[in-house]
Amino acid sequence: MPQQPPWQQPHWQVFDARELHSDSLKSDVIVIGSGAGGAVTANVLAQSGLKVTLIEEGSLKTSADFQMEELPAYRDLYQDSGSRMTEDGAIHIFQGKAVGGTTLVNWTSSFRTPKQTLDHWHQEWDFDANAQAMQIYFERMEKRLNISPWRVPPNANNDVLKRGCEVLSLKHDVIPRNVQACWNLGYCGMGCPTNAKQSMLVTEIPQALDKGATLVTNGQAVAFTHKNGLIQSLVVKPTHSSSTSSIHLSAQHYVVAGGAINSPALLLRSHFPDPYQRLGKRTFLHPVNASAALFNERIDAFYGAPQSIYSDAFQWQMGTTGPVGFKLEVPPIHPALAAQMLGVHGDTLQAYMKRLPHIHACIALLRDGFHEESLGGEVRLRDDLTPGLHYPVTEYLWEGFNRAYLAMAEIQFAAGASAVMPLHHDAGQYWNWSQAKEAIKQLPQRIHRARLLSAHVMGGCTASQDPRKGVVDSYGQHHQIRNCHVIDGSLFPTSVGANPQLSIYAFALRNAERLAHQLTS
Amino acid sequence: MNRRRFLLWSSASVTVISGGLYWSSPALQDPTGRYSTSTLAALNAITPLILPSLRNDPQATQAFVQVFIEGIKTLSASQQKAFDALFQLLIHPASKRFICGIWSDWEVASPETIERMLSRWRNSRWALLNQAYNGLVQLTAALYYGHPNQWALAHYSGPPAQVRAALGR
Repeated sequence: MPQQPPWQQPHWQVFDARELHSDSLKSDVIVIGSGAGGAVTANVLAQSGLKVTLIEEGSLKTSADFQMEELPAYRDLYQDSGSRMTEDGAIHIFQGKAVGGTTLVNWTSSFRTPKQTLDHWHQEWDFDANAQAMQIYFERMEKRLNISPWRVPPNANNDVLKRGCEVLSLKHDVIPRNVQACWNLGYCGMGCPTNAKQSMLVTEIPQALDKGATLVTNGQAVAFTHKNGLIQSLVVKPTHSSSTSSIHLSAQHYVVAGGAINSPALLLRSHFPDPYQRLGKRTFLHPVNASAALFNERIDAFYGAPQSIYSDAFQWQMGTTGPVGFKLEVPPIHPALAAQMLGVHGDTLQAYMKRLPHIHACIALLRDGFHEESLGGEVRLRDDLTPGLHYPVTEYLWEGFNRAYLAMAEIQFAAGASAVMPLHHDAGQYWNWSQAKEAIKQLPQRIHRARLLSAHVMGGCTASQDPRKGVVDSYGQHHQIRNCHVIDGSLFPTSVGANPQLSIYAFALRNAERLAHQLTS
Repeated sequence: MNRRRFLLWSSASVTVISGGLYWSSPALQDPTGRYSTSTLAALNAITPLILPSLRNDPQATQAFVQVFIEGIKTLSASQQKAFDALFQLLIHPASKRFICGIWSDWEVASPETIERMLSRWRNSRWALLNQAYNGLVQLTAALYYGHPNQWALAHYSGPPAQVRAALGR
């Protein structure tokens, strides 16, 4: 039997926001958001003896709640019930919303920040991200979260990528995963039912609670009140209350870690000074396009560790700042996601769904933000003050999507696919590589026709030592508001060029330790 | 499509989608938040064309349409607004004719006409119609095939029985 979640500890302080009233909690630091950035930060600060309150917008769900079913998982564990999109509806965004943030529902891929990325940040963005100095933080987080390359043979879906790369002599490797005693089930995206995934829910958050941190769930951070460069309080609205009343919580210091859409949105709602107009800008997505393929044999892409093989053969081949590079991976394919991504209806939909066990899919994650024309998107507030991400799909990206469709189709045929279907309204089923190659080159480069998605939101509060370039400094200290840090993926000046969770953990560890030192000395 | 029809088609749609005709549009929901009979009629007519296994089964179709409507209620406010705009498109007399191509009541619209509408929306060069198609079809398909009752249609048997037993699910 799997270890049961340790959420019954009597000495832990866990509240629903509606149980609180203004100033009912005394804290040294309030951390907003319990995902990769906020949980590590809360734990580091709590371990150093500081009184921490960790506030999460979502609910507390544990392995007992995870039913291995897509629909309840999307409804309960994802932002906007899994329907978050860029403002023009072109890119579907998957982001977590529960205690543990996206770490609760990600597919466990744990890469160190590529050296090329760290060098680029250091040289172009005055972001103190020295590759050598960062190694120790990667190593420490890998140890804390049991990150290591997956030793079990890949499932058939990942094996297609492996075989195709082998045939075409493309470099590929095994993905490191943050799991312990993993059952190899395939339900990481719906919350790990066995607590094998070393998400924040079962690692940093319980450790922080053990050290006296307080967790507040179902509390939305509305805005800060501030005066003369100092935050005075945080306005929190209970999300599960019919009452519209909000509470004010105050502390000596505040850490914003709501993720790369919600963090800039909170600062925008708070009217933080932004003299160089950086806030919310340069938000990146690793925009993803996908190619499905039919195999005669069963692939059963719904079972087994979802991601275990990747290829960076196309990631850096044209230079760090050249035409957009991309990482190749595969997604798990459960019925709801498949039905949605196929983008067809009627008999065609039914025919594809009948063949679901024979469908493989490959995804390309485009490395946005490195080229001078790749500016990413901008988080802006809607009339109701919720955040919207305006992310134009530019010609620069279309050129990359087109190369990625070609690369994925060639790999799929090389691995023995009987047919390949780029997920694009104008693409058909292609029966061989030469047919696919000619057809893909003709695909219209238009949003709402190419099915695009993202599971990695980064940037929007760019970190730079130069206040003209960034919202915060390298360590997350806000340039204008003295008692505020931002410590999450919104710091990154570009996308990472790899699934970002380990990058967020490592920078959070470094930056939180520095903050703990400042606050305790 | 001739020029006059195109102009009618685009002006009606832009107005409806931007909400400018709300004052003269049939109400989408009654005061209790239930969708109007005309919205339901449109969804009841369209759904079996998206999901062939619901063809000739009005009872199952109506039950699923309720699931679909409940599903919309879990989305963000902005997504719900987008669906409201889409529903206006389906039921407003002008857009129903010129954008959906449905000249009769939804209840008696022929499957061929509705299929033509879906295909035209999917293949249109107008991004707004592609978006309407994606919104309607993707949510419908996900909610339908995501439910355990329909897993067998995709030859998916769910989490292995021994895993469920070991986890007590």
